[in-house]
Amino acid sequence: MNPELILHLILWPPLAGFLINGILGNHMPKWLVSAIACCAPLLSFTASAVAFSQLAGQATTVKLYTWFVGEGSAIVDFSFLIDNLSMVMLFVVTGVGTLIHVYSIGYMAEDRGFHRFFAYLNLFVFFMLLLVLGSNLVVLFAGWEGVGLCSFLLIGFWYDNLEYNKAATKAFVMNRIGDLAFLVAIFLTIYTTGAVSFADVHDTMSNDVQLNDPAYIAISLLFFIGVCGKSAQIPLFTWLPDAMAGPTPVSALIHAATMVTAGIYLIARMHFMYDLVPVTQLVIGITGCLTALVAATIALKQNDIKKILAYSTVSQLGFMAVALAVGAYITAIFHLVTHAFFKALLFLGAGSVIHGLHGEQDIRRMGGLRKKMRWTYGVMLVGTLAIAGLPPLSGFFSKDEILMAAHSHNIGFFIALALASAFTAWYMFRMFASVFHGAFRGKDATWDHVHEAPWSMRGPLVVLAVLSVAGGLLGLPAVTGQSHRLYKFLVPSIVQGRVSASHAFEFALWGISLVVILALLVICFKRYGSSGPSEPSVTPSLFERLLVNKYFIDEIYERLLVRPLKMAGSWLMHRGDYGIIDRVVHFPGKVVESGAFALRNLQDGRLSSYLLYSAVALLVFLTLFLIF
Amino acid sequence: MYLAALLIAIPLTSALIAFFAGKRIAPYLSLASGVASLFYFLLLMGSYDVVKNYLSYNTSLSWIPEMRIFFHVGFDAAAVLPLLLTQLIVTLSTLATLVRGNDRNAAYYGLIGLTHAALNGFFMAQNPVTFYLFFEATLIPVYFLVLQYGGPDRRKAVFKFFLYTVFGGLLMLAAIVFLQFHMREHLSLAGWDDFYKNKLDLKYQYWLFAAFFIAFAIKTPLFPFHTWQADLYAQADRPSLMIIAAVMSKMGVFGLIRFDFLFVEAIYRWQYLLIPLCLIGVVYGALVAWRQNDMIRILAYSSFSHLGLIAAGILTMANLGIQGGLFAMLAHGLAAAGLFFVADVLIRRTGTTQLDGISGLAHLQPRLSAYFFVIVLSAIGLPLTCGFVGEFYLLWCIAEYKPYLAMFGGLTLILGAAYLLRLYQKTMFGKSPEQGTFQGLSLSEDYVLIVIGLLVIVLGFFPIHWIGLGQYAFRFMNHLPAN
Repeated sequence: MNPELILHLILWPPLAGFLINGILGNHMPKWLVSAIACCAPLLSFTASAVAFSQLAGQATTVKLYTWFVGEGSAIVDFSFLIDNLSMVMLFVVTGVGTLIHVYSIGYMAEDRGFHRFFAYLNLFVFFMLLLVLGSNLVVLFAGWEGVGLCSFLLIGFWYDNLEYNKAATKAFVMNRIGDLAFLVAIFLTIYTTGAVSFADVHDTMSNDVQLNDPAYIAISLLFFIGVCGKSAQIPLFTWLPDAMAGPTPVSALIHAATMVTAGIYLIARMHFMYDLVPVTQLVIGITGCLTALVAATIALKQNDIKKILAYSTVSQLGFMAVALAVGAYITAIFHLVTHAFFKALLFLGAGSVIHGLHGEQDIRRMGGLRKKMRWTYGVMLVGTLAIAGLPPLSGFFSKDEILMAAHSHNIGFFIALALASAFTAWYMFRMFASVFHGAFRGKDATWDHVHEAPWSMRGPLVVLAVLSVAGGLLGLPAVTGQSHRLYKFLVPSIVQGRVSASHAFEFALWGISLVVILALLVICFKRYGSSGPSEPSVTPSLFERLLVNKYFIDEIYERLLVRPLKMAGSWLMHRGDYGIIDRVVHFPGKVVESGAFALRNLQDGRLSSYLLYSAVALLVFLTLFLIF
Repeated sequence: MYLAALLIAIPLTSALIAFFAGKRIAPYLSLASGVASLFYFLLLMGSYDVVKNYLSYNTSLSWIPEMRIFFHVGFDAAAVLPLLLTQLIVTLSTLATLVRGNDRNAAYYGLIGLTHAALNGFFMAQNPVTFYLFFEATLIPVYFLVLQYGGPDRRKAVFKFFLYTVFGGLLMLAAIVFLQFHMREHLSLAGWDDFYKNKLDLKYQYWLFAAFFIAFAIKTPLFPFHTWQADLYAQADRPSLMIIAAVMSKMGVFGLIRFDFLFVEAIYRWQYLLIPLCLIGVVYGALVAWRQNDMIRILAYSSFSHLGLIAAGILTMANLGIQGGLFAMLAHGLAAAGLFFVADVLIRRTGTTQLDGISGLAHLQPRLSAYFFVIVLSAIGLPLTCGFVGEFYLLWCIAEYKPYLAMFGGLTLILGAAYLLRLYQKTMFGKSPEQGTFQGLSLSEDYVLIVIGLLVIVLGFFPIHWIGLGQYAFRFMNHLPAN
């Protein structure tokens, strides 16, 4: 099959699914809507598999047409790049995407926005494909903004609820802060390199051996601000926990597995530039460490099952950012992949719990669910252990690799991440024990109706559980003597050495993490296994208050940014427009009017006098203008 | 010979007939003239070859031969997009009046036709005097449109608008009279092409450009000359407001494009001041729009904000700025017309312009909410809509001028999303009213929204042929020394 045909088959099915379900979905039976919706990403997945078998190893660019032409050589084509990096992303997006579509059939069965939901989900997959396939910055940006749009639509999916709408707007606007920086970064890239496609930018930049070129520092930092928005890094992460307002499959697909990792993908895509700017790398590393720690500590005190997972996602994205910062791009992608598996699993499992409890999300009102939800219990156990990093589950290998990479670059990063890993195990075990063990703490009536999820939901869970267990096989560490498959696959796209450490260090790391995880497991089950999370104490310590209130970051933004801007808006209208500008325009008139009160009778109709006043006023403006 | 003039003659004739036709016939006559002009325009455009004949379909008449004043209209690359916008929006605005309970009289449609003719003349004008003639000519029908068919406080609003604009017009008239006498020998029938070849002394450039700039800044409006706008928009009859907001607001920035090649040195000298001024307007308008509760005022300030960006892009005097400015005019025109039309649909049904009075319409009107959303997306510059391409070019050229200014002006991306999504969510989302209290879209309303929605998407995917026209308009820069 020729590459262009393959590309069409990957790219367009989700858009077609969106159009069909969006326009006609209202008049179609549910089975047809879900069939179309699920077939769309499945087709893309199949086409990606074809691409894998036919094109693997060779980067193929497919140009559809010229989108627009800027100045000089900056021709923006609507063109796409299928290389090994985008192929990995393709598999994650369409593979996990398909599973989540199937899951949603059961999860959203009762919802009156059924067809709308699937239309948005398909549209999201389309934009995500645009993002990972775009062969230049502008097409990538189109996908980047498009997924933000779908995120907005899906967070606010239940739009009767004003709180959800606020969360949706918050997500979109915060992302747009990053997008603005991204956009300016694109302009500067074009300005300095004269190119817009990744290949051309790469060619220009690879001639540069000078480190820390100021222009590159500016560009790479601006891109990173964009990444902070999309991939929820400090300081732009607060939208992600709020984004949990959307239906749970959305949280799994968009806010865990795919969209939020777009920033990681972007930096991996632009890795040749980041290699040239150690300053930016340091900034990314510090941001990543802070994000990992801050989010993990907040998660310790959360009681909403989805919020815990959301902060966990933020924290894990911090891990990936650190991996990028130390130049271990492939490791970051590795963690991105395994994280997509186990975090999607955890979210969907949480969805199954919420579904079984008819919308309950507070883990204080759960407990003992293992008796009634055996499947969910099993898969959640796998997911929890995987994210906690228990060998030999997938999370262990990828996290281990990040720790090793961090260790060999910056001991500070290593310590921060090791600490964050311990927190991760803690909050996950706390959540798991509170939900599934002990006695049920909700209402009895609820308990009677607790039910296991239907097969359409269980199926994807099981597949994801298998992937979470086996995902580690993609990248076995050097000490095992096995080859790192993902590394071998990605090296043509990303030039980077393999992450390794001395055998002794590696074994020590394994041993310590195993011991710590098991110890935390025991402690957490003792503490939370029977009675769930404790109620907040009456006199909380300062630290506790900080954690419970999420370090007051939202409040700080509200006070420092949102409110002043709102006040500025009101002030500008009342004082600016009606106060200053109108008064300045009328002022000469007023002076003349009062001064010439006696001569008033000489003045004819109001029109001409006003005309005169305004003319004088504007002349004043004009004069001011010329003086400057 | 008279091919270009015919584009003015069609709406003019229909307007004159409409004044005397009955109330029944006038709307359809007006609609027919709109459609006819649209197709005639497309016909002209189809056979227009920008490379071979930059200026085509000339119509030139000797007007005052002693002063070498000509009436000269023609078809050139810069005019194409604004003309397309004019034909489209006037037609759609007429369509928008064709709803149940329409009691506009024949004179209304006559005035719409006059506006249409004047706008076509304005965009096709090929010398300063003709330009000025049509610049002022649009004012008269619009003045009466608002005064006769506007809201309760229309007198005050129209008065303010009129004074501002007339003042700007007078300044421009003075400048044009000066130009006319100063350059008498160099004026010819070759249109702007020859006109730009004139060399103006720098001391003249300053004064003349200041006069033109203030006239255009008032007309657009740009900060700080904008206070007439929201008041006027809030009072104007809404279908005609589609024309005012979508097309008339482009006259100022279009004028900047027409005259900036004459004042290159002056603009280069003042850029550092004027571009930030325009960008202050961008942020100012966005912040105020965010705090409004009146739909029309939100959209008015939004328009003010977006036009500031267009003006800033044009003032960078870069190829990208001219291309992007022309395309963004089209994009903003489509979006503004669409948004004001949606506002009209909502206000007619709910009887209120306030956001608090409307909520939860997405359940009742999924189609309306979908169209509305597409238009909002274009207005906030989402990729794959036409709004993105224009904004991209404008910010691009501003970034090449000064990157930090692009960051500042780019705040419109963030604030624009904030206030337009607020508008959308407040009206479409939230608790729905009782079923059946909201009347569905009529056929004509559907057409207006479909046309705008489709154009927004199609131009977003395939902008290249349209946006490329701008670079032919830009070639005049080559006559002149670079900075």
